[in-house]
Amino acid sequence: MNQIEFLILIPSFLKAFSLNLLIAVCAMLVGSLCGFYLANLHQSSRGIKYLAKSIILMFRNIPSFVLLFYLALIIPTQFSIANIHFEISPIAKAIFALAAPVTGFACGYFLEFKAHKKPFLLAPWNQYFIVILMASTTASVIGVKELMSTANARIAISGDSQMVIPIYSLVALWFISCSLILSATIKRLDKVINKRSQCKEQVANPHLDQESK
Amino acid sequence: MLKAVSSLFMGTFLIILSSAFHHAFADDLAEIQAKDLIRIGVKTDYPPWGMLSSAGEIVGFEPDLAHLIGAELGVQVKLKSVTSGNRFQLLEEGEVDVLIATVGDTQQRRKRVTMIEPHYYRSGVTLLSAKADKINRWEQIRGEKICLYGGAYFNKQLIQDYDIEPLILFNTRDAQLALLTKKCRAWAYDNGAIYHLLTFDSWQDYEAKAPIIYPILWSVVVSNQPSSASLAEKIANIIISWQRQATLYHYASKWALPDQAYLADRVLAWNKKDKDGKYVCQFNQNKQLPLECDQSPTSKSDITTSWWPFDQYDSKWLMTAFYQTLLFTFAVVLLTLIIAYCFTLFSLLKNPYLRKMINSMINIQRSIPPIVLLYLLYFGLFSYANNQTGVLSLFSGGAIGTALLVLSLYTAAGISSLLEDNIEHQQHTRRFNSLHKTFMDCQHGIKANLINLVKASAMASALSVPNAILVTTSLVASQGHTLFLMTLLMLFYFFEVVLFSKGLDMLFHFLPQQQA
Repeated sequence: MNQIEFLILIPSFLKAFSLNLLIAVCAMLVGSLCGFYLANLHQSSRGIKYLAKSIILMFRNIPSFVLLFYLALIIPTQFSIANIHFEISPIAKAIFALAAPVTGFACGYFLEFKAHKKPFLLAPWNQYFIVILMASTTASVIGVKELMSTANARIAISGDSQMVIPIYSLVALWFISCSLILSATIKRLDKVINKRSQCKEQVANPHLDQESK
Repeated sequence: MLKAVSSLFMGTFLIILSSAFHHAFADDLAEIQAKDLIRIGVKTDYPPWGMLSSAGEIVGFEPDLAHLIGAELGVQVKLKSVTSGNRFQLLEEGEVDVLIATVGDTQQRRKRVTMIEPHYYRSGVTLLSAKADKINRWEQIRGEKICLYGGAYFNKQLIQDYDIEPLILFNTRDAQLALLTKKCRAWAYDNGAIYHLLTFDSWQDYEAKAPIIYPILWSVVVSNQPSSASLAEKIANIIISWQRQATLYHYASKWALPDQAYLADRVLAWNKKDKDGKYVCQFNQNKQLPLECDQSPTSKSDITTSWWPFDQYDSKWLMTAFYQTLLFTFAVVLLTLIIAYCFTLFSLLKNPYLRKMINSMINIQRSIPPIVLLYLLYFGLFSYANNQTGVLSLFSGGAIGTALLVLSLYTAAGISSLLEDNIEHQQHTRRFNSLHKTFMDCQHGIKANLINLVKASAMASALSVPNAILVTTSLVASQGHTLFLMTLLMLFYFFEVVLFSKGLDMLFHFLPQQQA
């Protein structure tokens, strides 16, 4: 595989990786919202609390990889209700499957956040986002044309086993760089947020620093 | 809330009821003619039977037949793209009226849809292998490792007849990858698909010389609702006229399909007349065709119980897969604990630069998705080692070995990083004696990592490790019973995770709590 062939791959990989990002971002959003809602239900009446606990238990104990297959095979791709046509693409199924573990994580986080009144930190969310971003590659097994799937297809079409190592190495490098960039960005963002909240506290209570001394 | 739920149920019930009435009383043929439109589901991923042209139009052998049906019925045709996975579902949901989508006629499928006779094409199974291997007889693969696509209808028969070692892959793309990287000696698959693959320049070093076996006849398909009976009859008559006028043969030649001799033979059979000058190939009073004209699939089912839908072979396969999944998970958890302990020993290094460098190297693999690492090692690096002699050949791991290594290294790196952070923050002394305390301090984090590992171990199926997912999805693809099998799979993994979670709780409970 020469350098030109390698460069040709970049745009298609970029396009495919945007799907990984889309799946991960949407799964985080859906999962966080569900987690927040379930954490609130925890403080409701006994029956609803029990229901919320059961849902969380289910989400925490079923692997997202299994859920991915479950949704892919059970949920119809197209259906109509009362003349309204619905279409659930494999991407949407991947989002829902990956939102399940996020729900478990988010619910736990919000419960702890409420119980201990801890400051809201971006770092654990970032770490979880990276985990979900990496897990988004599993969507390739249900036919989502994301980065892993594109790489596999590229090798299969080429009919050349020599392509395997360079292409998968490129995918691996892609993810390593992406997680490093994300981690560094969020670390910086977290620092800025912490600094701002410290400044706000000092403005609100100028004697705080002296008292603590 | 209760009101909303009950109205939702009521609405769903009414929709189901109305759809049931629609199927019970409507006549699909009359409806098609009234609307002046027939919706036909065809493949777009199976050239030249069905594909997209450069202009984005659906073309191919089957789309041509679809247009012919429309012309015969005197209605417009709307082609809809379907896949092997959704074609029956779309037909059942009324999204298409007819399927001409490479559907092989089997007894199992006849329980779900109506297969129209006579059939319009025939395919079978052939072997794709490297030219250098010179495989031209099926006997040559006896006892060999052969790649198979999980959902193929012939897998079970092939394994039993030729005593092959199956390497089952989730999709045809992975099967191609496995063949390219010499994970198997040959790939047994549908002759049509392999014929198409061999038209690509990149596959010129491969050939399919073995004779076609397990022939399966292809049917035009309609719904099995009574409302589709007249449509089925009309299409059957259209296909009979195609057979007699050699239309199918003509279109097969147009698209250069393989096995045209079969269609030529059908033309002769369908034009044969008896002494009285009547066609031999005609439907009898029971609406059956003579054997020499067309053959219905025979049933080979040996199911004994009514609630359990699988025969002895499939049941044993499924149970073995569940057992092997548990065993694999136990092995990967154990190996992870050992590797994590070894990794943590690097934390005892006094030189901070060396320590940080080693830790960074351990941690870098955590930024790579495990599935990428699985493919990279199994299809890439280990395949390279496969062809080597000496020390490198030690790394030529099989699918199970590769999955064990990748998953345990990935989790062990996470645990090691957790322990290193604890030593750093708690300012524990970097001595061997204090390792146990660090380990116990981090037990919740370690447990969380190990539970994630139990869940991630399902991923091993991507490398054809015969675990619960691979076997269940293969059974779904070949036998159906989707809801039953997938729910069984989900329950299995739920209880597996609970079981290992309790096991880890017990392990940490029995470990001595302090050892300074």
